[in-house]
Order: sequence, then C-alpha cells, then structure tokens
Amino acid sequence: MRYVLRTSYRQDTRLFKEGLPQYGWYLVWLALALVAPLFLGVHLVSQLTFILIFAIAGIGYQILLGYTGLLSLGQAAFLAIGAYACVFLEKQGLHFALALPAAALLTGVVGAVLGLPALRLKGLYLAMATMAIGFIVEEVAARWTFVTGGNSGASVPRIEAFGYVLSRDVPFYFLCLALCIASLWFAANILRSPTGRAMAAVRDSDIAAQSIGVEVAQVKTKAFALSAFFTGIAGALMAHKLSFISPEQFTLHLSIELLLMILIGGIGSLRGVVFGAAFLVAMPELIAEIERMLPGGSQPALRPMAFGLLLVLVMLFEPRGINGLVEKITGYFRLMPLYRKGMFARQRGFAKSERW
Amino acid sequence: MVQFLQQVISGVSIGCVYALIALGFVLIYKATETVNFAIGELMMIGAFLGFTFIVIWSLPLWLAAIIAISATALLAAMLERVFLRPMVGEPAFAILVVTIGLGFCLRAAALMVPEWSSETVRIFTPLSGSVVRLGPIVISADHAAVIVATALIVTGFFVFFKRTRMGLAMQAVSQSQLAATYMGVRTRSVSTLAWLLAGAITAVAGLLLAPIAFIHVNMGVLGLKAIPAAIIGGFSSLPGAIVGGILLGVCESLAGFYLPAGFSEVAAYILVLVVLTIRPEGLFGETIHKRV
Amino acid sequence: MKPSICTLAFASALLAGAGTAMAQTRGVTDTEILLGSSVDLTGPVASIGVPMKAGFEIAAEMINEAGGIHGRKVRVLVEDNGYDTRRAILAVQKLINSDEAFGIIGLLGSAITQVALPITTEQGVPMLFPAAPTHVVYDPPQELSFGLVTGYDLQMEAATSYAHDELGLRKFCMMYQDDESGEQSLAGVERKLGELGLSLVEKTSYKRGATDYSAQFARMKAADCDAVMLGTIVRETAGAALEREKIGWDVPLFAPQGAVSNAVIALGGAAVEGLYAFTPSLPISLVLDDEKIAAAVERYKQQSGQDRNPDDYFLVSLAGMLLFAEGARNAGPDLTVESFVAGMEQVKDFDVGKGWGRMTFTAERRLGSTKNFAMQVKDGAWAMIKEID
Repeated sequence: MRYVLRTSYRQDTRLFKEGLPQYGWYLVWLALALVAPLFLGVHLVSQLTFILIFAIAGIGYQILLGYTGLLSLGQAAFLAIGAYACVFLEKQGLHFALALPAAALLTGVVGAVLGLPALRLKGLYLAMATMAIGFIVEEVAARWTFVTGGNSGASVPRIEAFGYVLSRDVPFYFLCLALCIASLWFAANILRSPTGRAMAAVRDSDIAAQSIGVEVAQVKTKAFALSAFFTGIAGALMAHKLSFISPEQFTLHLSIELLLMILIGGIGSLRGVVFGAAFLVAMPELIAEIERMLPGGSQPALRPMAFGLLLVLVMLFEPRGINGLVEKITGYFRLMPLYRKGMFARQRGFAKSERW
Repeated sequence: MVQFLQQVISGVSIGCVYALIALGFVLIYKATETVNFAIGELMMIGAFLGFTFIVIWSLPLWLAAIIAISATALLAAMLERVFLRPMVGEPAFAILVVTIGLGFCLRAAALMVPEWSSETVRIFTPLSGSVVRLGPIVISADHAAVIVATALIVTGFFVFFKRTRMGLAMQAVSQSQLAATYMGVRTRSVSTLAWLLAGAITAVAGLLLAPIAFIHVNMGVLGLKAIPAAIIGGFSSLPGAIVGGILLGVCESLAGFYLPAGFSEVAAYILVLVVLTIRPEGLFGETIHKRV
Repeated sequence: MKPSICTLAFASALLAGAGTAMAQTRGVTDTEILLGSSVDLTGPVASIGVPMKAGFEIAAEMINEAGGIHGRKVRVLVEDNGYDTRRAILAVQKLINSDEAFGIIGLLGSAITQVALPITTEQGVPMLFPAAPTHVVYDPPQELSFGLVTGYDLQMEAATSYAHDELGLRKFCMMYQDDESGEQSLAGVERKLGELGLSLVEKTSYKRGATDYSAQFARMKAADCDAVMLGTIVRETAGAALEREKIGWDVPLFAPQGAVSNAVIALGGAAVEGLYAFTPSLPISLVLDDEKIAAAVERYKQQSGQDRNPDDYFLVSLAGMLLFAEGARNAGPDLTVESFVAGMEQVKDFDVGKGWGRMTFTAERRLGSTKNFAMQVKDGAWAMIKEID
C-alpha cells in the first residue's frame, strides 16, 4: 500500500516503482552499510550483523504473512532447521559455501512439505498448526542427538576461505550484508513476478483468486517453500553468529519476536522488514538505557511491558508500522501543497464473520 | 491395569484444568470471534490474586476465592472494553496479535508486584497432603478437588446456556451476530459478558492449579495447551472444549508413561496436527462454508 | 559496482584485523585493572544477577581498600544480558572490544557461558570463574578458562557415591530436565554408576517449565528403585518431592546444587523433609561466622538498604574476585595475560572463605576444587551432613 503517483502502467511491475530517486536513496544506504565497519566498533558491527540476519528471516516471514496472508507461529522451526542442517553438513566436511545453499534448499523443501496441511487450513487453525510444528521441531532438535547434539547444544565450526577466517566479526558482517542484499533483490523480483501477484491475490481473497484462475494450493505451497528458504539462510547465519546452537534458542518466543518485527517494521513491505529488524535489535539496548536512568536500577517488567504495549499500540494506531509512518511523512512532503487531512486515513474493511 | 487407570485419573485431573481454560477460550471465541492468546496470563493473574488474599492477607478460603475470581473477571471485561472494542472490524489476525500483546502486558504487570515477581509460591489448602483411595488407585485430594470443581462448573454452564435469557442471547450471538442484533440482543454487552465469564473461569482454573502446580509468573504458558484442547474439541463447541481438554490431559499422561521420553511434551501438538489434517473442524465442530 | 564492493570489503576487513593487534595489555593501566562481567539484571534470574553484581563491586571495594593489586585498583563493569544468549554475546563483545576488559568474570548461567567461551578464547581474554555449573569451563582444560563451581555432573557423581557408600542404595532411578543442565546431571550419575558396575534402572525426563510429574514418578515407581536422582533446579525439585508424597512412595531424593534454596523448602513444605542435595558451596546462612563474608554481607545490606541476606550466588562473586586478586598478585607488577595465567597456576590450597574447598590450579587442573557438600533438609532447614572431596 504505497502511495505511488502512477504515470504509466509499466510502473506497477517495475523493481523500484518511483524510478531514479529511489535508486539514489538505496545507493546511499548501501554506501553507508559498506563503510560502517570503518567507523563503528566491533560491538556495533555485531549489532548490525544481527539486524541483517533478522532482516533475512523477516523477508521469509513477510512473503508468508505480508504477501500471502498466511499467519505462521512456527518460523523458529525453519530457523532451527536451517541452522542445524548447515552445521551438520559442515561437520560432515562440506564447505560453508555449499552447506549454506544446501541447508536453505532443504529448509525450503521441508517448508513445502509442512505447508501441505496448511492448504486446508486458514487463519487461526493455520497459526495453531504451525505453532504445533514449531514445538515438535524444537523437541526433535532436543532428541535427535546424532545430528543436533541434543540439549547440550553444539558448537559451530568456523568459516574459512582462502586461508581467511570469514566468521569473524567484520568479514562476517560483509557476508551477511551481501546475502541480505541478494535476498532482498531476489524477493523483490519474485514479488513483481506472476507468482508474487498470485500471492497477493490469495491474500486479498482466496475465493476471488481461484475464480480468476489462480492455483491457490500451488501458490500457498510456493509461499511456504520460499519463506522457509529465506528463513533457513537466516538460521544458518545466526548459528554462525552465535557460534553455539541449542534447542532452547528456537522457541515460540523467537517466532513471536519475528512476528513483532514484521508488524512494527510494517506488514507487506520489504523495506519494513529492515526497519523491523533494526528495531528488534535496538529495543533491548534502548530499554537497558532507560533502566539506567530509573532510580531502582533493574526493572524486570520493562521488557515484556514494552514488547506487549508496542504490539497493542501498533495494531491499534499504526497497523502499517514504521514503514507506514515513513511513507506518511515522505508522502506529506512530496504532496506538500496538495496535502489534505485524512488523505492517509485507514479504511476499515468490515469483512466480519470470516468464520475459520 | 491399575497402572493404566492411575495414569488416566491423573491425566483427567490435569485435563480438567486444560478444559476450564479451553472453556474460557471458546466462550470468548463464540461471542466475539476473538482468539484470545492472553488467556493463560489471565489464569496466572487469578492465581496470584488468590495467593495474595489467602496467604498474604490471610482471608478465609471461600471469601478469598470469590474476591479473586470476581477481580479477574472484571479485569478481563475491562481488557475487552479498552483494547478489543476498538478493534472490531479489523482483520482477525490483528486482533490475535493484540491479545498476544496483552498477554505480555499482564505478565509484566505481575512482575511489577514485589510479592509476585520472580518468586514461585504455592497455596496450601486444608486438603493438601491428604489422599483419596479408590480401591488400589490413589489420588491426592487436591487433584480430586479439581475434578469435582470442574464437574460443578460445567453443570452450571449447561444450566446457564439452556435456561437463562442471557445464556440464550449468547448462543444467538454466536450463531449470527447480525440476526441476533435484529432480534434485539445487545451484542456489545454480550461480548463483555463473555470476557467476564471467561475471566472468572480461568481464575477458577488458576486457583485449582495453585495447590498442585505452584504459582509463578510464567505459568501462563499452560494457557497454550488450552488452544490445542479447544481445536480438538472443535473450537466453537463448549462441550467440545471440555472433552478436548480432558482428552489432551489423558493423552499426555499416558504418553509420559508408555512412550519414550519426549512424546508426552509434544503429544498435544501431534494430536492437534492429526485432528487438523483429518478433521479440520474438530471432533464436535460444525462445518461452515463461506458463501461467495 | 560489484568489484568496488569487494575491494571495499577486503580493505575494511584488513583494517579491522590490523586494529586488534595492540601494544599494551588490554584493560590494564598503571592505576587500574578493568574486568568485565555480564549477568541477568532484568530477566528471569535477575534475583540472582543483581546480588552478584553487588558482590563484584563490594569485593572490588574491599580489595582496593586493602591496597589494590600491585598498586592498581580493580574495577568491574557489569553488563545486563536479560538471560538471553544473543544479548550475552553482544555484551561480552562490547566488554572486550569497546571497554577493553582484561578478563570476563562470573558470567551467570551455563548457556551464557557456553556462547561466550568461544569469543573469549578467540580474542585471548581470560574467562574467569563463571557462575555456571558446567564442565565446559574446566574439562577439557583450556589455557584461558578458570572454573570455581563444580559442574552438575560432579555434583551428581558425589550424590551417587554418597547414596551408594553411605546409604547402601543399589537400584537407582533418575528424573532430569531435558536441557543441558539435566543432561549433565544425568551424565554424572551414569558415569559414577558405571564405575560402581551398576546402571540406571529407569530414567525419565520432563520439559522445562513442566508442572506435572505424575507420569515420570509412576514410571520410576513401577521400576521399584530405592534411590531417585534428580536433574532438577528449584521449582521442579519441590514439585518432585510433592509428587513423591502424593503417590505415597517412601524413597530418598538426591538433587544437585539448585535445590539448596529456601524456596524449595517454602514450596515443598513437609514433603521436602529428608531431601538430599549436593553443592560446591554452603548457603550464606551457614557461613556468616566467617569474618570476611560477614563484612561483605554487612556492606551489601547497607548499600542495598535491605535487611535480607543476598542470594547465595553473592558468594560466587566474592570467591571469584578473591581468586582473581590472588592470581594477579602472583603475576607480579607486570600484568599480562601470560603472567596472569602463570600466576593462577601458582595458586595452591587457597582459602576463599568458609563454605568452599581449598583452591588449587595447575596447567592440567582448571577447576579450583572438586569438593562438594552433602546437604539435607532437616526440620525445615538445610543442614550440612558431609563434606565430599
């Protein structure tokens, strides 16, 4: 739901809908990301790396939730599968450069298979089924000791290439940056392809989509596979960043954190994913700052309170998240003299009684 | 055989707690089509309130229970009025996310109370420590109390829905909100009432759980088990919620005893996946096809 | 476009690599030694982390008032991690790279320690006395990692030998939490039983946060064992004792360190009477007659404005700081990582206060003491019944 001023029909399918100025802005951001390690300490570079990893996971979630309208509460399962598969393959002697795509593809296949029951399910039932899958995968990770190392966890091998350790802070940041940009580019292109448009059609109304000839089942399967693919990449990267994996890292709480990330960043937008990821990483630091200012020192309630209130307030007042805010502000300046009150007012779709 | 029955009985008693929470869950869903992920946290608040009145203020047990149950019910109704009323008409998933957020807020609120936060506490009842023997089967009095209380509450609900005006109105709303409005049912007060009742039931569940499984800030995760229970029972069926909850409890208990480690933890979720794949509308659900 | 990204990437990577080589020892100036720590100040175990932080600060004060270490004052910078591994990694990286801490002391939690250890090892920073009952810290011995607290495996080994030798029990069952801590307890029990030529009659697990242990106890009762080993923490220990009482089974229970807490007694009531637990250090209430500890606790009460004793982990902070000071003193005025390691290896039969074993470190021995105390609940309070070396 971007406020694009259209001047031709081609514009709708272009990669950047607003043409040149948009390229310019993205190039500025890219340049900043490239030189950031020169100015920032290792600690901040680590934070940036986490943002990039979460952004990749967020792309996967956005495809599923934001573009196809399928609510999953089991994204942590895909992260876990990607992480464990990649680490297992590396321990079998495969190089990271091969293990990563293999793990991502494997996660994609698993995603497609797990998506099968989803073809019959909608809304809450789907959320519950995916949540169940999340719990089951967590349990399998704890029990299948041969592959996963069980509850004691497993250490993650270093990535080396050409005699150079890639899994150290700064090189790993660049690795994640490259993968994040590639993923964004890949996802953006999928979303303007017929597949992506079919996804949007299914999201808006699957019955209508079916009646214009969209294979709903196929589209949903593709969405699950793609989502799992991206999330798998993120899982593998996260394993290397944490350098230690155990089942308790992949709980329902992580899935809900990812959901929060998508909602705060802005649902239905790839840009929103990056905002959301930045927010998710910055929030704990912000809360720690606030805590330092409080008289009592520590306040354990602050974190869940901020988490919960944000979810509620965003849904109540700004359902399009940070991205929506940004678009409103830029839209306001772009349309400066022509701006009317209520231009960006939300429409309420009283599509009541969608019994699941 | 004795072993088997022993496991079944112990599964039934924990299943009754699931069933009560699931009942609250389904009540809200039927009246307002809201999927309430904060239900476990409501139960936690109810249990802590009970603890405060019984242990800290040392009120008599019955009085403390009544105050705790009413306070939780009012809290639930307030949540509905403040946070969920404005969400009417938003997509169902947005409402679900709001309830997830409310769950976090409730947990944070509990963390802010010094006597509650980061402490695990327990309510000792006069029954604690004594056991009931049915032939060779042993069951603790606290567990037996859970089963009896659940039976009483379920009977009460049955009467409420079949015999009272408000109960009939709630049934009508759950069938068709629009038609109910035309027939003069005040749908808004019905949805507040649903939350009120659900709050009361979950508080009862929390109080029943307190002597057998401790009270702590994260006990709300038990509420997550109520959702599979509700789904197994068919999501919009009140008897289904009860059966689903008890079935779940028994399955977990038997899986814990007879199957290798790990199965009992995921038994609920495997059961849900099986039910959803074979019979997505649940054991007691009615199929509703969307008209184009 | 593409080649320029690559060159930039390599250039900055090289630059960053060059930046880490440094002339002076990290965290040591002429007047100060900076240590870093990360504990949970805001999360689920903040009730342990907050007194631990106070423990570091009070110990540093006491060391500095006594003249410091070769004229240098000690300062400890404590970062919050909310008991979250991701934030712990960031915190440890910040402490090493931005704050330039000499060592990382007293990390709270096994999972946290396990994710931090590869970082400290790679950066060449000493990992000092984490409050984590895990063998990863000291077994296999690593150059830069020093342990204070025995792992759950050693604690449960002690429990098994106590049950076997002192109580003459032979049929062992075990219920453990299915995570890292529980599995370590299990490993300890199985190892000791193996040495004794026995094996577990029944083992069963529960998921963290579980509230109902009836199936597990029914299984163990069906196996008819005469000792139940527990791989549990606080709440679950009390839950297990209640379940045992409920089914009317008179079997002794043996738990690791986490059980030695007043919360277990408050929750379990009469059901925990007779419960055994095994811990590397005595609870604070039993060691207040030690002068140094009493003085530190007094300061804690003054500074926090509370009249309650701090959590027992306060003692882990104190003991860790005392050990560090001893090692750094042995290292001499020229404090580097190498001289510190050499200094630590000279620590022999060092007394960190009442309620701990005597600490000795060598090149092969990275755990100060393998001593455990056998504790039992008697008349509603923990009492020490035996010292096990």
